[in-house]
Amino acid sequence: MDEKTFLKRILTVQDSMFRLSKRLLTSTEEAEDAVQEVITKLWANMTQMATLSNIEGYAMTMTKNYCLDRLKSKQASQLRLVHYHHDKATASLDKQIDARDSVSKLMVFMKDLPEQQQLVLQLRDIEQYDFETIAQITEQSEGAVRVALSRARKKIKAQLIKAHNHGIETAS
Amino acid sequence: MKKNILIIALITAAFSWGQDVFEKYEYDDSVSYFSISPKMFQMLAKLSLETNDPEADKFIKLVEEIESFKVITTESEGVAEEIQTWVDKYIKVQNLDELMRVRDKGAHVNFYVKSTKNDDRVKKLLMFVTDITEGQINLGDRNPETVLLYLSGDIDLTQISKLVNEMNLPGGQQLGKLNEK
Amino acid sequence: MELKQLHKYVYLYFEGQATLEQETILMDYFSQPVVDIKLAQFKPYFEIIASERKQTFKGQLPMKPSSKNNWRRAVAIAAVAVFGFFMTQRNNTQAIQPTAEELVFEEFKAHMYFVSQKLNKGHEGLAHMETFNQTTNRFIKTD
Repeated sequence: MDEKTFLKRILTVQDSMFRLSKRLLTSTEEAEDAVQEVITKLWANMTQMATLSNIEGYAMTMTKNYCLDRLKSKQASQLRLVHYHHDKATASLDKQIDARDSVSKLMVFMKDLPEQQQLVLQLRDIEQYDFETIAQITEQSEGAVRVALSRARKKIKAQLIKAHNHGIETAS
Repeated sequence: MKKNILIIALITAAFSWGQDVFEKYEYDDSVSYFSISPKMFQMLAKLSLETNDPEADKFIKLVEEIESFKVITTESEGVAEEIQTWVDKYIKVQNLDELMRVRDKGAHVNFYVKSTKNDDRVKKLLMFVTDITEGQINLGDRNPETVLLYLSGDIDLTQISKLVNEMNLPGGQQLGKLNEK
Repeated sequence: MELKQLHKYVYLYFEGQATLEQETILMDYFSQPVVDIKLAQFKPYFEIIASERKQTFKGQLPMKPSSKNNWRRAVAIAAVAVFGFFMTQRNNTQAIQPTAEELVFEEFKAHMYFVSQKLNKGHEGLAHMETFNQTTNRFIKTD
């Protein structure tokens, strides 16, 4: 694959790679680093692959793996903790505005979900991939993906209802 | 995105299969790696026909003859030693003939070939350049370099030899100057 | 879209059973400022999705080919730049930017010249190519 074609194809998937990285790594800076690292590795592999029809899927899979590896490293998890606590602090500060509060609360709640569920939510809700694609990227079975999605959505629904009811209570 | 798991798996597997020295150092930071795949040669052959480059004609034949091309360059002594070991093994296993040895201004150049019935043509060409720097202080911007270059295909050696006598390209002239340092 | 349908889709959605199409319909619905009072509690999540989807990558693409200690590559790139410029002087419709193939080609040429140089050093003093042919398999040492 020549550089021009590679760049064109990467351009279509780089935002998805970034959003996935940001979901997993929290920090924008870390996420940008991750995307650059993965693209560099991909390009280095290009001389071997004349044409790879599913470079987008491969790029996402590599991104996922890279980010999960980073999460295991100490440095990354410290950064994550900082941002997580920051999110929590922000959530408590915004109690006056009801709508915002429910959004921030929800985002903090989502960060608490198991990694697998966060992954599936990201790939399904944000990137709108079908189950087959999600299975490829997460390197799991479609069945496992569906189960994870179902669980995650149910939890979110419960949280939404809870927050809404709480809002009603505090309002009255 | 359908049915691509197998392709991805195959490609991932290929990265870890039987490593030759080129594959081993492809992503190593202390090594500079450049290769042209058979597919790329096909594309280059097309390019030679389309371009207005007067130099291209000389290369059309070469491009059509060469199947694959790999070159690694390193300044690392450790890597150079590993390459030497690999080369020694490779020559034996592949039964390559030593074509010639050259000493060119502080560099040793070894050529090994897989010959064919035709004396001019070879199936494989391995060029191994090592810098002799023992006891020498390095001056200038040229650092000691080890180069391993590999060609395969149906290669006409005389054609390659002739190239250097017909340097018209600006790059070619620069090449000459740099070598004369 | 009937409200009843929407309720059904919302139900399916949070069971993880909705199709991508149905999910898109829901996203469109919840992007409206006012929604059915019974569905309002779910709006925050769809708002989050909408804002997350807007995020884009703002970093730089790392596309420099590795050219560590390889002067031949630098020469090849210079050659392409000169050649490209030369060609644009002749023919203004041609782009200055070399294609990947052109870059590879120039690198290939540079390396072939290099090989050629070394080959020739090896038989300096030999008058003819024919002599070279005969001695192809002989061990030649030159100082």
